[in-house]
Amino acid sequence: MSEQQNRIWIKKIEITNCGRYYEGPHTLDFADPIEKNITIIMGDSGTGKSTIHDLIYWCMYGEFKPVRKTKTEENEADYGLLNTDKLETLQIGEEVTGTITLTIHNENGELYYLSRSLTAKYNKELSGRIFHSQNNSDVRKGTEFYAEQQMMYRNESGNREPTEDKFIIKNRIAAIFPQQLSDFFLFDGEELDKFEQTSTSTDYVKQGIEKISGLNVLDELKKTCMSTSESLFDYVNGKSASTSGLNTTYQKEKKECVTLQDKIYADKETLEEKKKILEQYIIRLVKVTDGRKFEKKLEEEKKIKRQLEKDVVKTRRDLHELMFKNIPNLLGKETFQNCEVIFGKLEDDDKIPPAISRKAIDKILTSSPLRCVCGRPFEKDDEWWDNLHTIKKGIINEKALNLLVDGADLVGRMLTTVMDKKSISNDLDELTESRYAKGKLIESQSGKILEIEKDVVTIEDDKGEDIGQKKTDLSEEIGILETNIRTNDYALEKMITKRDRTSSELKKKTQKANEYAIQNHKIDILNAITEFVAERRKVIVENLREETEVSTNKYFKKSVAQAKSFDKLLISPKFEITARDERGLIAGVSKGQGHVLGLSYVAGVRDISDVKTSLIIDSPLHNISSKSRNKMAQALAENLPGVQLILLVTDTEYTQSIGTADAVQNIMKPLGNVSKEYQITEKEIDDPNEPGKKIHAREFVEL
Amino acid sequence: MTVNARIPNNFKEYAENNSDFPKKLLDLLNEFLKTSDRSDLDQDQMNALYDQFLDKYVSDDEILEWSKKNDE
Repeated sequence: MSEQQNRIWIKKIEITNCGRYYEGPHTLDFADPIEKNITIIMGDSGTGKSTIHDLIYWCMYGEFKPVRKTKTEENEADYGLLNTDKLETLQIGEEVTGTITLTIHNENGELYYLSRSLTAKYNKELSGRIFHSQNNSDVRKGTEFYAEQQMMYRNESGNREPTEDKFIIKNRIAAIFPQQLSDFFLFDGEELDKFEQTSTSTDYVKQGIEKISGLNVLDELKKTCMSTSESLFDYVNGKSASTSGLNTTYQKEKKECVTLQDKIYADKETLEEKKKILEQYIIRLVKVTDGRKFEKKLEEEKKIKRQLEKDVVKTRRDLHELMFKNIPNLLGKETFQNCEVIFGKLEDDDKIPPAISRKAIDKILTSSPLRCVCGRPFEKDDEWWDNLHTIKKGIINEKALNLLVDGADLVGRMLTTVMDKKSISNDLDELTESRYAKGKLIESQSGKILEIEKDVVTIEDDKGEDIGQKKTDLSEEIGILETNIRTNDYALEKMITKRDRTSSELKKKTQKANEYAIQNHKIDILNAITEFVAERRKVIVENLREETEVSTNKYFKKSVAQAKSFDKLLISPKFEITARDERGLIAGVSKGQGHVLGLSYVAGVRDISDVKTSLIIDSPLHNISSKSRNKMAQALAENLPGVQLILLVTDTEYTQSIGTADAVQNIMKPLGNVSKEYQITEKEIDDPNEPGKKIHAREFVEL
Repeated sequence: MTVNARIPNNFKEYAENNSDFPKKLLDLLNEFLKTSDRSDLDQDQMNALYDQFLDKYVSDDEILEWSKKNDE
């Protein structure tokens, strides 16, 4: 990669009414790092160096660095975001706005102008103070805050265009300064303490390699492949895409229908034969005087019984109708079926992708402008819009859906759920009572018939043959046969209904089979990619680890004191970073050497990143011995060409010589990489609210 | 966020060294990688997007054969 490419740097920082910076704008201007890449910002402890570090973070992400928050809470001397002298002297109704702007350039010139501001308004006087997260400090009660952000970017014509869309701003900043990598471009020198021991640095090293190289992109890709595959799997399973099981059921049901139908035909034939014989017996019976009398009476009672039986059958059908057709319809069975059809059509018309979950329907319905989760637009008068509402109304009503599929105790629960429950309940009671009453009448009628038949069995013809007994026996056989035929007819009717339903379902599923095949293919592809990405990740991490090791060694060997004690640095596959002697054994490091090791890693790990973003280090050289400090400064200056390096240092770190070692300033400046040096100075200003009182403000002075 | 060129390069290198790896799959993987800057989308929306991307590749016999072999 050429040094000219992918160069991201901060051209200007402007601070107004933030931290210790009173009014403003207080401006820090930086040179293009391709020429001179180092800027020094010097200030004594407590002057506001870390404030610059924190404000850059806040401007980029609208949040405070967690570690800084802790510091602020612990150290009362630290200020909140807004300048305290301004904030604490607000009169009722007055407001103050603190702003930080970053002008960000790339190799082609200005890329973004990013501005974030926080306004505080003192609304009413209340006693006491309260911590306010937006200002990250305790403030007077009665103070209200609101934040704003704006970005200016170059449009296709090269002109500046503003946006306040938080997603656009977030995405654009994340593309050049990812928040999760902020440790590696906004580096706090105190983090170097972690490198004194392997145990405390391991996680940092691992995260650094994985984050700065953008491996989380692979992790996200893998996660989304798995999640999409699961969604599609649920979709396919929910639709019972396989037709093979259904086809087996259909074939079985079809065979059962045929078998039963054959049996009914056979029974009917037998019945006809028996009836013919019975007729002969009856003819012979009526020739006998008593026979004629009993037979007539018997026929009248049987006629009554047949009518009652017909009534019972009708009542049973009415009950069936009520229980299994009317009630489910009332519950919205048709609505659900319609919803499924609409859902299918929406998918067929590519209005919604199959991987969408049903809860996502809610998101579509609340989106503005109206659009599918994948971004496809719906028009306001689009018929699909109404269909989506129908789906939501029907399908998303889980309670009703559960009632329909539950089965057990269905009718009772339906009756307590449906709107017209009273009328249905009355109908049900009426039909049940009618069926019961007619059953009793049939029973009584059967008793009467039995009595008459007792008389019939005694009748013999003129030759002494017991034709009464034979006729009665045959009647009984015919009765049993007729009952069997009736029962089987009813069973066949139900079986045919079931078979036809299965057949219709099978036809629908067969039609959809191709579509399901596509979903299954997609699942196969996604699962294979998940495996592939997991495998490649291992290889990429291993390569990155090796690259980082080489880069870190480059800085370490140049900078560390008593370099002869060390042969090299190793980063193990478990990301343990250790210094080794010539024999390959672990060599212990002092506090200062540990800091050099850490700084070497921070600089080295950047080599595995594609983008040369700025590197802003707060207190980079503290705790590092004088000679090492100079070497480290030299190594940073020489080995990060094209990378903007902003060092926030104390006078002690930068300008003072220690012992025989020269000052860092005298080492760095002759190398020709230092473009500017700023000093943060204190300036006394007359307090406009309190005559005679002085405000200790800060300002930048270019040296 | 920006995709580190090492990732697509690694995929490409793998494809070059493995003749049974479908070359068109690299296009799909690149489409997936390009979504990494869509922080405005939640998981459901990302799933929907991946589903749409797959439409173009799902009938590719070479990709299907490779997928079946690698999804074990």
